[in-house]
Amino acid sequence: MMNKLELLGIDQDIYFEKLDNGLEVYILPFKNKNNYFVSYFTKFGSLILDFYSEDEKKMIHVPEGIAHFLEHKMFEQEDGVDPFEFFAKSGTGCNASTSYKATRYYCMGTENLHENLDYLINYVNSPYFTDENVEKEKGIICEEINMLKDNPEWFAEEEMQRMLYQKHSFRIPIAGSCESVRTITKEDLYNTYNAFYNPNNMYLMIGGEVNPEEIIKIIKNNKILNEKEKREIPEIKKVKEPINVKEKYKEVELDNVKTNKLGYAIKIDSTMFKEKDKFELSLYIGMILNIYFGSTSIFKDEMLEKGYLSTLYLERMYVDDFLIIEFWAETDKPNELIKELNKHFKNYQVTKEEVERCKKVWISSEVMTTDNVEATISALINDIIEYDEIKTNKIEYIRNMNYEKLLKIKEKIDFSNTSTLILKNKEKKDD
Amino acid sequence: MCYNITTTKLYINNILKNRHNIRGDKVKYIKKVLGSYNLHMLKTNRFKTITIDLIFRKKIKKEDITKRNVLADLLTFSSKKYPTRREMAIHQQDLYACEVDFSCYRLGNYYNTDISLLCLNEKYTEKGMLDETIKYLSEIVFNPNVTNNKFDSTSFEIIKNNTIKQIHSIEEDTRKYSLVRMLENMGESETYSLHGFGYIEDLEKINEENIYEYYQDFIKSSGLDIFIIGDIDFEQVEKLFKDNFKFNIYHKKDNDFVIEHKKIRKIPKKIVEDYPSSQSKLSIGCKIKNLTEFERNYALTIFNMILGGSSESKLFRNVREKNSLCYYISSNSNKIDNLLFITSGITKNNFDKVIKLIRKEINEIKKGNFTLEEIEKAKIRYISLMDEMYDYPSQIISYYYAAEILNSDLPEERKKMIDKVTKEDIISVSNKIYMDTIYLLGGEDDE
Repeated sequence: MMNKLELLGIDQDIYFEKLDNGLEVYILPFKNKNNYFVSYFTKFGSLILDFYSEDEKKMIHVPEGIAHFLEHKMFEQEDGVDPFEFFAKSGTGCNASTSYKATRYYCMGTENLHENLDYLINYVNSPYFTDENVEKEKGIICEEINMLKDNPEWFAEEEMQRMLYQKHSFRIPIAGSCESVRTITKEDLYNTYNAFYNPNNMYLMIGGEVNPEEIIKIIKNNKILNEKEKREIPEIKKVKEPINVKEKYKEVELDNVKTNKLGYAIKIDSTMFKEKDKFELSLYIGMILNIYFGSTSIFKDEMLEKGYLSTLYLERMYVDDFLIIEFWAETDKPNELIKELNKHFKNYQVTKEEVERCKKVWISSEVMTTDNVEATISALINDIIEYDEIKTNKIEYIRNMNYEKLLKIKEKIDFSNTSTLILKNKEKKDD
Repeated sequence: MCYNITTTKLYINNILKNRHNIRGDKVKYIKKVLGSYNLHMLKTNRFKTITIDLIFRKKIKKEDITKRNVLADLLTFSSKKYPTRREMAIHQQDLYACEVDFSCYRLGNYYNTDISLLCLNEKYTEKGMLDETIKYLSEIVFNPNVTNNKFDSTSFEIIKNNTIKQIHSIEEDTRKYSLVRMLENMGESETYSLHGFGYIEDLEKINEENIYEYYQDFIKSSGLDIFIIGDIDFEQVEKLFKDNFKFNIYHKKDNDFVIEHKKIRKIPKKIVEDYPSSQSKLSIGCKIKNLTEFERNYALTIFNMILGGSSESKLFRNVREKNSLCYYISSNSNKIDNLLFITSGITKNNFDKVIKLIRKEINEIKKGNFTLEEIEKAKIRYISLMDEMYDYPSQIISYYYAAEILNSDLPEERKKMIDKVTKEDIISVSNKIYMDTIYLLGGEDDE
């Protein structure tokens, strides 16, 4: 039976059902939309490299970049028709992506939803790996890795992960390296596929002007999916990551860096906060950063005026029990900027008015997001990946945020366990 | 790997009949000529937001490009009433997180500046917000942060510094940079080689005073179209613009957007430049000459989709999937510039091999070696793109804008016209495309 949920405060229904084989299905019937968006994803990303293989009955280690390789190879089908070709028949777009924590397959279009949905389930459940087609993919993926390597921002983000963690596989790039990719075999792919592409580890989300009853019927009648037996999610080798960052400071000179950049990241033990609700804590941290360093902050104006930065953006994320806050700036004065940043965080007093304004803005943004089917679904996918459930009461959470609590959380954030990465142009001296 | 062509049923001339009608509310359109500018109002209840777009256009001059970027940045950075960036940002938040953005880009012989605004419909906020929002937009355009005929120097310095950084950072995006360098090699100082990022040598000449002079000239001599889309009331909106956007500017219908090429190279120019990157970025530029209107608007699009416009295309199938020579390869046609580009990221040693394969695929089309199914798929994709745009306010605007200035057909008409493209039309287009410049940027020699 489908359960009806609602995204509170924005009049958006969600129909939810967990099938016997473990697959979780979410259907969002929109009004007034011509497009649909379907995302089929597994909670398996580049971070998992050591796990218990049911096929081999032992813990195994797979080469770095396997999740991404698997994503590429799912497009290979035994009948020789690849998914791009199938979806093109109805003018539907399709693609896939791999992140640290998940691999997603999606299609979007205006036509043939039922047939396309059925096909999406089929192809992601029909691996076809041969020595020959695995070999063929290596050249393509190596070009993809080379392409990313040439992007200084991409390089900086990967370098930052290597500085923040001592053991965690966040240190390893999502796509792996050309060397690791070359060692991948079809056996590695099948082992990994069987372990993590089980319905019990997967999710299906559909949004658009759709009829939930019809959609769930298609999913339940899919033969390949029905034949899949529920498997327990395999045991994953846990590595105890120490709290201290691996490397505190590093300057890198590169030929292809044309504007100097700073990456400054803080690694915090999130269990030291009183708030046990990770989602709530993340909202508070986000609001604190927004008020201190966002578009309406005094800090940003002062730094622009001093010429200490030209762009600044912030990111926050959870890595197991660590909370990571990253600052990225284009700046010629990285060390001065860090000093100012610390000073501002210590001395500035947030006002109640700022908190209320931020709440109003966030609620407005939540409403704006629902104009876009894909953006709405992406936010829910993110909830599942980060918090194991969709958050239907985001607006309520935001409304309930309170000034005193925010101040207390702010007091606990300290900028002591940090990594600083400075990227400079190699030729700068010759200017 | 060999790809069997599937035996899908072909719906020649019948594609449209098998498609559903657009779901959701239709778009009602009214255009008003308000003195010197056009107000285009698009009413639909498809969106909870209102999008407003001011699109200025002016004949392109190289020295104006950088000025225009700085000016648009200044106008949206601070104003007389909100004299710092922060005060602007706070006011936008007070308007329920309304977002203002600008972009400057070349459109054939013209250089356009869009100032766009996105806000929630006041049904979801509070009454009077649309009024407030349009007033704010008018503040941005008509009340710049100017004292004694000079723009505010704090804002100016920040923007100048940021512009320098932005211009330098093009070189960090090697894919884009390769394309820029290819066009410069194709024809330096030709209009099509001008890019929209701005130029350092021009930036150095700009100061707070002469940028204000430029502002006054820009406001007087640009063509302007204003678009608004959302669940609006036609009369209310017309009145709001009449009250808040009173200005007397250039008023003439331009029709010289399209660039025509005089010189055609018999043998393509080949350039290889060193650059510190691990992958080589390939950009090929082709000139297009003597297309009919129908070919330019429709057959060229289908030709491009078959050649390199999707993951179904000949280039993707053969260069990537069959030969594993790249991760990305695609072609893009620009009907206003009469140009076609092919771009890819490759290993330097494979340069000749890749060029040979690309030439081969173009020749296959010239020889008519492509199937009806390939044509059908391209048409279906094109029609889908038209249908998809109904969910995106800014895309709807861009089709109406193209109809206004280029006399292009609107999406529903386009869907019918694209169906008329024949195999012969595509072959005819392929014979009017001339490979002009082959450019390779950077990459390491692989032993």
